[in-house]
Amino acid sequence: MILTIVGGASGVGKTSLLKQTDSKAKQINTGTLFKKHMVLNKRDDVRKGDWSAYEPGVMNDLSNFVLVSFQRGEDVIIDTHFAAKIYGKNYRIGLKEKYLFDFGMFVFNIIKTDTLIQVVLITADPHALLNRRRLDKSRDRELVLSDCYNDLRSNDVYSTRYSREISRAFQKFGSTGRDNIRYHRVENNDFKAALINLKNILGG
Amino acid sequence: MAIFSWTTDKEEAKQEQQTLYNLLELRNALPNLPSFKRGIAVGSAYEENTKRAFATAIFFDQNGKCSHKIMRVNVEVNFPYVPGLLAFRVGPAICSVLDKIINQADLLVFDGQGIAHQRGFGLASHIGVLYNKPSIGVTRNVLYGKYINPPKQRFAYTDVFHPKNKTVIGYALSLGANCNACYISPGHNIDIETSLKVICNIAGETCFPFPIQKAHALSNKEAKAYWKNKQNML
Repeated sequence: MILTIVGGASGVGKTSLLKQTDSKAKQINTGTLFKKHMVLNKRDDVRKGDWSAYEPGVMNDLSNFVLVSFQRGEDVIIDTHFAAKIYGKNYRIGLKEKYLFDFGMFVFNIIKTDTLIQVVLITADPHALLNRRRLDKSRDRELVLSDCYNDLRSNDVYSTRYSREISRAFQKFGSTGRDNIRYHRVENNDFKAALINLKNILGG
Repeated sequence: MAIFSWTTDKEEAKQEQQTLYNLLELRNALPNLPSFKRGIAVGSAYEENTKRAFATAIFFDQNGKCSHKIMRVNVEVNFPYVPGLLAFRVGPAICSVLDKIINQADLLVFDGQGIAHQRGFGLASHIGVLYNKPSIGVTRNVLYGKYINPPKQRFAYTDVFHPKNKTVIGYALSLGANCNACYISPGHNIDIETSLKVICNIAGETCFPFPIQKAHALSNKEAKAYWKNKQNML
């Protein structure tokens, strides 16, 4: 069983890349979950408000999704942000450490052993990100270079905390966490190269 | 439509400069520099009464010969005069004009500071980083840095030092016996020595590098004419 958490800055190309990978794994998007819990029309409105109050509900949905998928023998991909803005201003980790830890415990409880958890950071050059955001007219994202830089950097920093917290949860059960958790970084400055890279990762 | 958003808050502006500073590179991004195919000289002005920023862009070649094609833009910007934050006052107009032509040039020169700036991020650095293009700033005054005046002879220059860490952040350059020095500092994607070479190559016979002088003069003229027209209409 493989659980892959794919994260990165808004507009970096996570969802576009995942669509093109043709992966058979079941996919879930935390932004969509937050949108549902916050009763919003647009996913981009999530980061403009205080989404932290809705984290327990989102974690619950995530856990259920993983449980059902694993019971069916399906791999899971979580499409998320490792860092996101609150009230459109300050960055914080996409999901609080304690929830990640609990989530790690929950996953380990379901699968016990032989599961691979992959944390995949999709990143890019800030200029490439800005360009992507500009071209994507369907979304409402900040067209500020400094914002792109901060978004990428905070996602970079917090992505390691994701693997750290899940690893910590695994260690609770006596696993070293080292064999079960992998951390990958995919540079999406060239879409084709990034896609090949991501396909290789999702192949396990 | 300008592709970049600009804050009108002074503190946010300073923070943005500090963030973007992380993207600043002082290495030559183009292998052939100081040679290049086509540059853009950008002049800017701000008309206080109408709260409008004016920008003029002129193409020039590596010998400083300007093309006849001149692009001008003016946009409403409400940002006060704050030393060190010029980019937020004239930047929206500059980007408005550059958006349409940026891909036609491989070098930008500005009548503004490069790294010789209190946060190491003047107008030339800011716009250079936004477009990720080699950029150079040339001014008539030093905003930040210590230097000794160069001898009044063509292409004589002295170093401009960072007041705190004493590194060279630009040059004071004389363009002739009757000329006051102009001050050069790299903006982005170009090293400090190459910036000097490029400016010497494009300088022409004027006391201030000709393409920038022309662009700046046209912006000023346009700003004045705009206000005069407004007054006449009232």
